[in-house]
Amino acid sequence: MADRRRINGPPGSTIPPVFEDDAGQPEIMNGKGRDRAPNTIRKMFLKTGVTPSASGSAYLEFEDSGKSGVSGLKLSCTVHGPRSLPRSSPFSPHIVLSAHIKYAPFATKQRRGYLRDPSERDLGTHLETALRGAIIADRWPKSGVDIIISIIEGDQDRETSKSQGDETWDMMNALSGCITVASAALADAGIDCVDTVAGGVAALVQDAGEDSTPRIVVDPIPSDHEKVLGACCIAYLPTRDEVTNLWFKGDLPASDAGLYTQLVENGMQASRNANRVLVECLGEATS
Amino acid sequence: MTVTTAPEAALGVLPRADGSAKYSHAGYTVTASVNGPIEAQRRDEHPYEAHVDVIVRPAAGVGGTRERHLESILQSSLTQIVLVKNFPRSLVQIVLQVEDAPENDYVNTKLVQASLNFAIMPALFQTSVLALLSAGVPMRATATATAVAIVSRDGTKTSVVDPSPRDVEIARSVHVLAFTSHDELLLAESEGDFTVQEWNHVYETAKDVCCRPVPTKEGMEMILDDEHTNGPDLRHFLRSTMENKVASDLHWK
Amino acid sequence: MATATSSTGAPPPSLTFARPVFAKLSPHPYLLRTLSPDSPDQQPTRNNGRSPQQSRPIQINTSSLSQAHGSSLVRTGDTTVICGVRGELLPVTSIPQFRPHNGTLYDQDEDDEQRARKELRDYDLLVPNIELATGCAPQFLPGVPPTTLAQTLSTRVYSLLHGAGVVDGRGLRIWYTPENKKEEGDMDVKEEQEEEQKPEVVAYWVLYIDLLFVSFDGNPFDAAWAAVLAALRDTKLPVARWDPDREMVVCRKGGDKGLDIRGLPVACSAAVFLEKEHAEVGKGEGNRHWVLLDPDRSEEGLCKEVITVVVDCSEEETRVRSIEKQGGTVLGRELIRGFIGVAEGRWREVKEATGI
Repeated sequence: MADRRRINGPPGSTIPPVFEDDAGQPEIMNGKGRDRAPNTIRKMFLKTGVTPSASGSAYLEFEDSGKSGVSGLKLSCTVHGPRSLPRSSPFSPHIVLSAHIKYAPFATKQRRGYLRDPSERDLGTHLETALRGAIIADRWPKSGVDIIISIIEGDQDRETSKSQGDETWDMMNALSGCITVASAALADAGIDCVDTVAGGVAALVQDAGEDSTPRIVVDPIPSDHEKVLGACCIAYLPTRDEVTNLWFKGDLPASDAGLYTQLVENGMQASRNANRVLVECLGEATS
Repeated sequence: MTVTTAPEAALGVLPRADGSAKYSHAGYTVTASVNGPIEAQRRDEHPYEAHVDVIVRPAAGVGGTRERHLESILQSSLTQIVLVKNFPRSLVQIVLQVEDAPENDYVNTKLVQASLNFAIMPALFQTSVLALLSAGVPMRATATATAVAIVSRDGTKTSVVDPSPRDVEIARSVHVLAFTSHDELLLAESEGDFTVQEWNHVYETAKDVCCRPVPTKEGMEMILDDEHTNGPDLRHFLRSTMENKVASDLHWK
Repeated sequence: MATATSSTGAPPPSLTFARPVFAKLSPHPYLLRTLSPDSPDQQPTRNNGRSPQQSRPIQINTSSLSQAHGSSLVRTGDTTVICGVRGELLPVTSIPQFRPHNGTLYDQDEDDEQRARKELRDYDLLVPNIELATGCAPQFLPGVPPTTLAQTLSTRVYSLLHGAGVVDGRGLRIWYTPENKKEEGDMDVKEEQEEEQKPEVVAYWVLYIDLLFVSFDGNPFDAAWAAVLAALRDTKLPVARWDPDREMVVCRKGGDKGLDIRGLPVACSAAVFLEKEHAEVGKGEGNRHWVLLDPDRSEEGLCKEVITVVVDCSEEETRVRSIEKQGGTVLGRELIRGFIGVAEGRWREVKEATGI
């Protein structure tokens, strides 16, 4: 695709490097698999005010779990607003939220282009839904707020080159990170919210082994497990006990009826943990 | 060995534009049209000055990133010489169309080139100044530009004025300098590997080409000096082109 | 005396704004005031407190991204830029107008290095791109195609990459020596006469250099160029070889090889602030000017003339790689030469920050 506004590469298509080891044996998990308790989320680093020229900004980094090649998630968020809507747009009695999520070209294993693809638009819609429940929109009529998130590094394991459909589960982790960082940036911008919203992911995974039963873990890294059966990403307001966005994907076995509710509960717990970090970081920023 | 042809220009080639010019030199032929001062779009208008908008269209294909860069260079330079403060909230629009570029068998010709093309900048500059003069847009001064390349030939470094594409390819450094008619340096773009002394030498060469004082018509001094064969006398060329145009316009008198 | 009523005799409250408000309402007079203080013992300062010849300290971190073959993060004041370098493979069969190495179209007097430079340019093996629409400043919001500034920056980085010859193109070639095929029944082939097959280039590495601006506060080119250089120095490409059975290039894990980066060109930019615009200057009046090194966003908006100089002081003599001066007539020959001296100082600062 020759985009005339950017410098394009060679006209012939380039191939990402293919490694010799993939030809034959499947990738063996480096070691023990998941090394955290099922209910523990990864450590995160959150900082606000990274972009002084924006109304509000935040930067989030998930812990690199120490295994070689497993990258941590790195997100940067800027909030511009509340600003007046363009003249052409119709009157709106509440604030108009627009979220824009973009993976950097070097963020994932497969190099992404500069134009947004449908998966990124999908993430943006989920984020808008999650934040809409938290912002007090009536205080800002005829205004708009832009939330722009750049995913600097995705959550993929570099060693495994087989996709295994890992991308969708990584997007769940990315979405939960996006919700948390957007919430921090909104607070930094001084936009009124009823509560801080944080994202949490819970998944039903099955480990390698003949008789392993599926178990529910929180903040999953897909490469740690043999197979991910289903996962859900929750945006949760802890003080009000409300869920603003729920995204579930996968295939739950029909045998256990309460599995779905359990999964959602675990997701809410993960979200509560993330919220604690968020509140602590915001408290430090204001002091 | 490149054949140095004298520059040629024709004014008023496009009857419907406010001003237009066609200039060719060293293998490049550029046509420019100027419209202005005219009404500006809301988003472009400036409350105290006119907005100068330059559009460069390459010989083949649609413009890419390099044309945007050329446009921004020309815009910042031409804003300095046009009297923009006289026309607030207006627009002076300059469109440059490259019609001919010298062919080069050695260069792998791609349709969309990304790196800056130094050799074409003087031609674009000259054409836009001529078109502005033709349109009668009030200017503080006129400007002339030239390109100089430092080439290693037979072990020694020589500076070549108006380098051919082959020269640009093998050159150690390429430079474009523009001067106003008040002998001020308006634009200096250089690329390659050179020292401060080399740049100094290039500056002198370019100044000689662009800012040679107009020869006085006193008999003996019109003798062509061998030293001055280092390139065309651009200021004189600009002046004589305008003189010819004015003379032909007023020939009915 | 009886106290007079408050309205008589009391002066009206004076209208005063805080300094930042003045700076926003009338930026040009405000900057002029701080640059030309009344008393001679006060130094001219800019809005951000720096002197005109003072640039912001530069901070360079590398190897922060694990999905990229090389990466860097550069911070100059509030301008933050992240650069990621990814290598991908381009087989020669995908190159239109590919000229094999021993083709007669290449000059015989060129040496290999020159040929490698031409290959870089002709086959587009270096692809830099600058993304400003990340919300780094209020004027750069996503959803619009790249602005002129982004395109100009990309062109300048591309031009400088090729003009300065930073990357040695020979390191991007992937060689393959085809095996000798002995044809059966060919009695004339003797052992001594067997010719060794010459190695040929079967593929190239293409480096995608992507720059992302996290925060923008003026002078993007200097930061972007420093990030590109640091990321290229950090890049390690896997060892690749041609697999004749699968007819593709395969890479081996471990033993990543770094690129051969020549020299350390460093960019230094400044903007010229004029006391009066040209048209307002009357005859015979002087027009003071200040050259502001490393301008920030507000200063860039007030200045029309800018200069960028790229120098490399790795050898004894200062080699200049690029001069870009446009937008005004204040900077003449002498000032430019003086500015190259200032750029040498900046080179030392950046060299220290790179940690060589």
